[in-house]
Amino acid sequence: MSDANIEGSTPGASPTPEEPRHLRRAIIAWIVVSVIGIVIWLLVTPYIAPATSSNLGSSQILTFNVLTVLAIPVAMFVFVFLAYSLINFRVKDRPTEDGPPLQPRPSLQIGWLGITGALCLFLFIWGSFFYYQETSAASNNTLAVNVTAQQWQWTFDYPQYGASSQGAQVIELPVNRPVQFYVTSKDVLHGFSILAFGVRVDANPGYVTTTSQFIPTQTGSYAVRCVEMCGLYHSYMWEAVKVVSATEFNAWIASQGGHL
Amino acid sequence: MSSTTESTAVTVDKRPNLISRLIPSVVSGIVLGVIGAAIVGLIVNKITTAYSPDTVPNDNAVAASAFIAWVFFFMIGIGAFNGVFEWGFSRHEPTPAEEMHMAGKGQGLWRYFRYTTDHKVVGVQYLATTLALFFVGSLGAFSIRLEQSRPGALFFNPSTYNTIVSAHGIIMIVATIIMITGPVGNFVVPIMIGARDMAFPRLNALSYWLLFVDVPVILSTFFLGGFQTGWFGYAPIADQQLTPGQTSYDFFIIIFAISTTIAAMNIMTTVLVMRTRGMTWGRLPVTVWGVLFSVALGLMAFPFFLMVQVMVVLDRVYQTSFFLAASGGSNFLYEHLFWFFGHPEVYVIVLPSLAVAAEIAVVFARKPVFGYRLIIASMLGISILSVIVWGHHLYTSGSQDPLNIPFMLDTELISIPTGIFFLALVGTFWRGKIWVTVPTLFVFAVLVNFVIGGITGVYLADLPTDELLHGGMFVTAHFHFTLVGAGVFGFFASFYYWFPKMVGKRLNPMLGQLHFWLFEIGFVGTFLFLFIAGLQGEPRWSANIAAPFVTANTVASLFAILIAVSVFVAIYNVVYTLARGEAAEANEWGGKTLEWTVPTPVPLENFEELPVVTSLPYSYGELVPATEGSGPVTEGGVEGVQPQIES
Amino acid sequence: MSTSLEQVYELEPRIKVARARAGVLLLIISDALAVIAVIAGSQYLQALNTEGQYRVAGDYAPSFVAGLLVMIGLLLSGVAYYLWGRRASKAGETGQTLFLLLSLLIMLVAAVGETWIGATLRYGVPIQAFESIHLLITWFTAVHLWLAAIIGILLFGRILRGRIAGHEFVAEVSSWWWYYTVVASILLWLFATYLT
Repeated sequence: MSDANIEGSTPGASPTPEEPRHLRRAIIAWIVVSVIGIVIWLLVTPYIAPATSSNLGSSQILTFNVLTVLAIPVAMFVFVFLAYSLINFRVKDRPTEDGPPLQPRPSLQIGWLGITGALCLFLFIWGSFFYYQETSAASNNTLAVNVTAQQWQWTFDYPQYGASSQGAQVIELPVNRPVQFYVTSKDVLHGFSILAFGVRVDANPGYVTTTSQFIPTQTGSYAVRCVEMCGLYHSYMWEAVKVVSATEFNAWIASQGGHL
Repeated sequence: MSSTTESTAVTVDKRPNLISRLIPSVVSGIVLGVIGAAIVGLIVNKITTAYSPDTVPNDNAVAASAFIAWVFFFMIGIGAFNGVFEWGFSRHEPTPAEEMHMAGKGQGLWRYFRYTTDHKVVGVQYLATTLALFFVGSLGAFSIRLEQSRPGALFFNPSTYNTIVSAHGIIMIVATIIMITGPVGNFVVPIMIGARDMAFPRLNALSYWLLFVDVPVILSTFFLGGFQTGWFGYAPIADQQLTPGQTSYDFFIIIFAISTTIAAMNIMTTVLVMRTRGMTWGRLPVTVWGVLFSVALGLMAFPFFLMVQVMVVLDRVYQTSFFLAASGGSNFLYEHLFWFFGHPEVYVIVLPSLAVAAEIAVVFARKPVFGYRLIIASMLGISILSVIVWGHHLYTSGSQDPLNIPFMLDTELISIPTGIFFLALVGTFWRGKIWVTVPTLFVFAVLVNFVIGGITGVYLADLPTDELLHGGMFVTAHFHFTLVGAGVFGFFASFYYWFPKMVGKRLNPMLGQLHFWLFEIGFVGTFLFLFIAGLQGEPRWSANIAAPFVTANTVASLFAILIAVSVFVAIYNVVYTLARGEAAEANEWGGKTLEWTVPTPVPLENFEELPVVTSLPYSYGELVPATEGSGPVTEGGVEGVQPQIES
Repeated sequence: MSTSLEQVYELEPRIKVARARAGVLLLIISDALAVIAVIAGSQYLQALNTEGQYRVAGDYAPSFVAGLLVMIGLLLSGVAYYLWGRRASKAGETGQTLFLLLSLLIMLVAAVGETWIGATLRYGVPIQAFESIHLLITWFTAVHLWLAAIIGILLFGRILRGRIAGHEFVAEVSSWWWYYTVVASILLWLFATYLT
């Protein structure tokens, strides 16, 4: 398996106009399709991407869109080159002759590795940066909410106020104030998630986990859902969480038996 | 049934009577297995009822002992222990006639129903079982789509639905693990490397029959109350007593792990030791590399899955507390042991499909692999990295937050060798003479689907976006695009490609194309809309579809109808071809790997004389004939250079 | 053991040796990974000490003396096997059969002993993590000792039938599995006794 196998040139061969023409056409098609794809994505994303209403969620959606904008040209590269090959190099029925024994030049291999490596590195650095941001967020006004999961419901406590949700199906949070959930389980593994806020963490028996700190930025009603299989009524394990003004929140706390 | 030229062999010519056909065979295996399971189950029931406390139910102990007895007595009944006994206590080594008999000589079609050592028989047995598992798993899939097409519980109560989802998952996982390694790894790979059989033919039969005996174990869950854990089998929910149906899952895995370990050992030893003269590592076909990496990963990963299930069984039967927090156990233990296996396992599934896609691309583009060393390096890189990325399934578990960033790094790194793979495949088709057959279509679909699957994996690999998507249908759609879109489509590429060699008949190409288009369009449609449902926030394992997700699910279910139709098209094609298909050529497609140089049907000993290999089997576009002793023929041609045509 | 060859086609002896070695080595690797899974899992639970319940008052390990006796027996069995194997692996020799018999008998006694240890544990339900680990390790070891004993019996059968000559690699690779069983069992016992 010497290098001579991998890339040598047959002596006396001369380049024909075939190859650069195909390559050029395919690359142009790739660029055009990628641009169209990105434009379509930017138009469609409000309808498809997750709707979020917190600072954390907005940051995650930004990452989501950056990933997609990078992904489209990558995917289009494969699609376009394959489609181009299928259209231009197809033969009817069993071929009577072979194709040219092309092999990748070192420059192509290195270039490819370099580009994919750079993309990879960028994604890692971006992801690390934003993850670090969200996990190191701190404030002195954080509302702490304890969440206890069990088969098949969520119970919420507000230890700073001595209030609990008392089995109510709707809990409330004040708008524009940092929140952090402390989550545990009474029986099996559950998955605590509020898509709208961009928080998600497992509820483990005998262990307390914390979500990232986040700030709800919009009033409204959002869903708490269980995202780890927990048995019979796993997909009925919902609650609603309302984000309300500070005064409404205080009133709600009082109604749940808490003190301010 | 196979044509042979062994005029010098001594054959024992006994007219087979019914008894010698049935004993030993799968029939005697099943009969003895059922009787043994029933008797042992009753005995254990009596003992445990008498001696264990009333508060502890004994149904798991009974189920567990019944499963073990079923396997043990089935193996006695099918004659698996005969060889073991003879190894130790026979007066002589097996005679050639005895070995021929074990390999199925003179037994016609019935050899597929016995403990037959011929690797070609075992390959076909694996193929039949894979297709059967796919069918059963598909029934589960269509039930899921039916149930999820409208909100609320439509057809199934939550317990049944959860069992269907869980069983669909684990049956498909097992089926996709064996789908190429079983049929191709057994039937084709030994011929491809110029061997007459696998390294351990009797263990080969054992690994198959362990799989066969395992199928009723998972099906038994439907009669034992089902199980509620999803395909992961997570504890502590797996520890909840509920019904003994959970124990079916545990033993399904334990038995399968043993079967797979034996098969992996066999395939690795075969490739290491039984290559013919001249078949150096640098001349090994890509398929063999793919299967080799896949089983090596499997050998490494399955002990962890095996042991974690043993722990669950101990928890259920003996009330130990490996996973119960109240007694010092932890669900994190399950998650780490499981995912340490679970991540390499998905590459066990996908690597053979990728390798087969490369193999088939070469034949239907009539061009050598665009970078043989690139492809091998990419598969090696993927294999090595896959062992150290398991934490990305646990980003939101709360278990190892400081390790999240390192896991993100090495998970992102996997995209580099994956990208190399795409370079090689795209380059192989580029400027080839592309012959569009059914295998070609499936290879294109593998590439298209794997791009989508791979890219959506990046969203899950990246910590910020995983917080939005973990545990939702986005994950489900991602892994269906990779495991089905690349994995199963790769399987069908290999199926249509090697069917003529394995069976000797030609599948109808029109029906094959219809199967392909229905499957690809249905598949992409179904799972694109499930991506959307995931982005809207639909959790996994949803028996109850909430209002925001209904439209996406309904559309997905409509697309799934196309998949269902495609299954029946394929079944019809296979059945019709088996019954009345026209004969295929020995080298149906013009391939250059060794299996296409032997006649169809393949003789019992594969080769009249073992071949001597002088080059990679990818010598397409060769212009300069190899001179004596010059070693591998130069594959010339640089990108942009048209090789000179020699007259 | 070639089962699909004809008179005309015979596997070269060096291939028979190579496949036996490769096969047994791979099985040893696989089993060793299972041992690692058990040890790693046990250490993890100990480190987590969930709810402080890893071990509570009244939890006990299996009998130290009984375990020590089994381990000493295993060592002796390994030595005896070595004394048999080093001659049997040489071409044309069969080794002192007495040593193999001794090794096998000790292994059988060890298997019975380990099974007895497991059966007499009598842990109270529910079983804490600490005791769960000891239960697992005890039965894991017992199963492996029985497996080795069965292999020894089969091997002994071959010797009685005179079928070791010409199959030296059988003696060689079976000794690898034998030593592996001894070493892994002792390591697991040491881990269980001193590190849990």
